[in-house]
Amino acid sequence: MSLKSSMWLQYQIDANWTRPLVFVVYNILRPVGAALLLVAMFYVVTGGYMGGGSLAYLYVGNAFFMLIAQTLFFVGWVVHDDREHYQVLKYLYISPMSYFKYLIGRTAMRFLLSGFALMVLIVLGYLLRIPYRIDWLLLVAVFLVGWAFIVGAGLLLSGINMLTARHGGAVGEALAGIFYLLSGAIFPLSILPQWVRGFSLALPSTYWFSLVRRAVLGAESEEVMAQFTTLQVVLYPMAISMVLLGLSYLSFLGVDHLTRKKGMLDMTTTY
Amino acid sequence: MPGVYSIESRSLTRTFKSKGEVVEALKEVDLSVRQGELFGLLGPNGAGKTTLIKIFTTLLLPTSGYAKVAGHDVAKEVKQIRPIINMVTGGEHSGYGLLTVRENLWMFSQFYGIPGKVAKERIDSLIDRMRITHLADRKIRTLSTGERQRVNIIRAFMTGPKIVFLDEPTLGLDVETSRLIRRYVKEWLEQDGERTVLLTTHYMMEADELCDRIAIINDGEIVALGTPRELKKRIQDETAIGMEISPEIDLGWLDGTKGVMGYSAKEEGGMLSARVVMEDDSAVSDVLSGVTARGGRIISFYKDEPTLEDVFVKLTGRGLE
Repeated sequence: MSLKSSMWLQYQIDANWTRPLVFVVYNILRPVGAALLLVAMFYVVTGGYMGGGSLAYLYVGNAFFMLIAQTLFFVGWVVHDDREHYQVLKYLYISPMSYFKYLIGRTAMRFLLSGFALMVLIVLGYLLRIPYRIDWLLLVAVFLVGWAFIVGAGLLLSGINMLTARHGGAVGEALAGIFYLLSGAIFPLSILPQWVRGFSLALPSTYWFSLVRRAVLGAESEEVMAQFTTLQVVLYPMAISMVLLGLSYLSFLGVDHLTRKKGMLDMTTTY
Repeated sequence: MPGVYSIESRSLTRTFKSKGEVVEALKEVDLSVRQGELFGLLGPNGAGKTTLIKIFTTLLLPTSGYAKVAGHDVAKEVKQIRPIINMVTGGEHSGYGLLTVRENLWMFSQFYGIPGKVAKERIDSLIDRMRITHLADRKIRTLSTGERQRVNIIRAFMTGPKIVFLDEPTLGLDVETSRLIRRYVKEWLEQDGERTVLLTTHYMMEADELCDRIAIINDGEIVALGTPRELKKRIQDETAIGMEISPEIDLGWLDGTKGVMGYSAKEEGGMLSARVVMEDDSAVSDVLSGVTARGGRIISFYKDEPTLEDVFVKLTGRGLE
């Protein structure tokens, strides 16, 4: 029940600030604006050439990156918001529900709501003549693997945030930035320096973006990632995500003890 | 729970490290609260009351000693403790401001696994009891401090706890809301002999009015424990006087005055309202002449019945405020 209620809570926090119509319009305009800005930059850089695989690579990577960015950005703040803005963390904590489960619920709803913006961008892509060749089965894998990876990383981040002051929330943004830069979301691995590429290949998100391109564009156009089979790009991030989920749970148990030891569950750091 | 205290601590110590210094917030605290009791912790700000509540509500680990709730160790058995407790803290603005009163309460009821229909009935009943029916569909952020605290009281009591911890629940509230909360807490306790309340406050009237037993806490130590009557008996041989002085003068000299055991003073409407506890009547004239000698005009003077604050003054040499 706590999972369902925390998902409901996240929906309310995301949507309850305005009327439903304004909420829908905002959630369409925001991602569309950001995507069009990127397309405009591409248009300028290429001197008006809108064809080829580069735009599709850039557009799809940017659209799916939103799932990572919005969810991780959010997870970076949820603990601090509960603890210091809403001042409810201690009340949530002394209830019989698992706060870990509660975080999973809120992260899951954030992921779902980000999916709404993603759908809008996919539709917009049709208008921009992005050559979609959607493999529905792989697309399901994209969401499953993506959810597991983002929630795993997010929960690990939440554990860290329970021990940090408000500025610690920026860690989520920083992490999302790393994924944007190094995972082949919009910059192909082949253009990254060799020493950076090794780091990129260790990130589960790199394989996930490759899976995204295979599921949405029909094939992997990026030469480094094309060397991996589709099965590999499914299994590798899935395995890492499972490890991340396990690690996040273990770290949560450790953090739980540490926060109770240090008295940080109702800490306020309003500076 | 025959033979088991609802709330219990033995040699409970809690220290905090701050900028290289070790601060002892609780020192070897022994406390036993029986089932059915409304037990008060009376002490000034910084005495250790909130630290103690945090430990009992599983939010903070003891440094040494142990604390038990319903016979369960707060450090190791949180899963057994959390379903049967709840807490309210005063002087804060907690709650999801974007949700309405009803939504906030419903959500918390779900975190306690209360079936939807039961939760709705309890929420409606308590909203009515706390006289905020007209606010039920208002967002929390639009409520005043007093209204929010009524919602907090509902949040804590609707989950059907056996033991409730109230940490300064009426802090900064208007008279009407404070009275409503006190009355509700008392009634709630009387309805079921298995319920227990631990209340912290620095309002002596509140402690006197509500509590079956009171522990006076100062600098992390329990300095006295008993029923309000027992505690007040401790100063039956002493003399307590109250006076209003204008203009305000420093009463620090009272510390060295023979026969004076302690005093408390606060500013009220441009005057100084002071209470002085003395060993006997012989010190009264010295106190009064001392005030006038320092430029203070005594507006009113009265010999008073001993209060819990006088007990505190006698034990610690200072007031509760």
